[in-house]
Amino acid sequence: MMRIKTVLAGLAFMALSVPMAQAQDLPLKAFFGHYQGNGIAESSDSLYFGVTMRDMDVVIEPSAQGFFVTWTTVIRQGGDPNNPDIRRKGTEIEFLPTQKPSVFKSSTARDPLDGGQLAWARISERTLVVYLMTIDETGIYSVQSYARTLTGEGMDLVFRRITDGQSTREVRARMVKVAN
Amino acid sequence: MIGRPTRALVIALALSWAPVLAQAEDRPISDFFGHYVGSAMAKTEDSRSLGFEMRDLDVIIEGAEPGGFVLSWTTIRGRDGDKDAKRKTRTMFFKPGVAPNIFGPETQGDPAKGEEVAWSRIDGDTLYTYLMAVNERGDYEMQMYSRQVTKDGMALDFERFHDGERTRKVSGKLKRVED
Repeated sequence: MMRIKTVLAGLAFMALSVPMAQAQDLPLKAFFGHYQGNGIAESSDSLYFGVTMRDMDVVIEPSAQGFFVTWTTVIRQGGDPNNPDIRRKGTEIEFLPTQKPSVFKSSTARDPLDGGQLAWARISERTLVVYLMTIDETGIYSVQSYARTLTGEGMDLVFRRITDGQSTREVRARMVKVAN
Repeated sequence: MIGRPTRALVIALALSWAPVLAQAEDRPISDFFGHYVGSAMAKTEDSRSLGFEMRDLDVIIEGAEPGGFVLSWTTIRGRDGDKDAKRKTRTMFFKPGVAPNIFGPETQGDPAKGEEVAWSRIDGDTLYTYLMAVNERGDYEMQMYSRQVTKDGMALDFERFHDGERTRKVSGKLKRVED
């Protein structure tokens, strides 16, 4: 009887220990690498104007004190369907450690009320989330979040833009790791 | 040459747009000054229960040099006077910001240190106040107060967002009272 109880207790502990191990935040270096892929963007007016395709390139690499996230997005939207108009957007931000474990702040953060941008990042389990916050000249805020979750072949990206509490854009993309 | 029917149509259109245009003008901050009391219903975004409760509210907005204002609000959960009623008061000073309808605190907080980013804006007859903070885990919390001047006093809406998802909404009506 005792042996059965011991086996059951052991099985219960093993079953519980798996989710506990998964819940741990990955170290920053687990995200370092070069990733490429593409995704689909939906906005609040997608019902009328359709979705847009975009190609993405992300590099996450160490800096002297923290890490850099550099990303480029190529948006194909409008124009001739066989030869759509192309826009390219690139961003590079350095993040530094804070006193909070798994939370990082931008090295160039400025008061968003004075036209600056607040940027911070956090690691939650297998996901690195980067936030950018701005306030426009009428006082309306916008928070963009890039949640990059590690997968077996690279990472999944979910981008959201919230403007004054409303979700105004969402992009979902799948990326492959092309270099360390 | 514009014919008579066309001219009448243009005038009718102009008249129909006039109230909208008048509403679009931002009120000066002095229009919001006053003492307001009332009650509100708080609703939590929790499908497991009805998740609402009543609150008593007290708001004071008064002018402060140079061209700014002091906003003080009190929320009472439960019956005022009851032993277990919870009373919370917050007072903030806002000074004029980069645009005529924007106001900011004396010193902006640094969210990386657990401090708050705060600002207010006027849009038409509504004064919006925002409080944003980043918690220990790096999630952000945004609180939005919209206080619209009405004939009798003020209509209040409060929304709290956690990482972009709304977690609480409070709506209420307050009457302007004489001190």
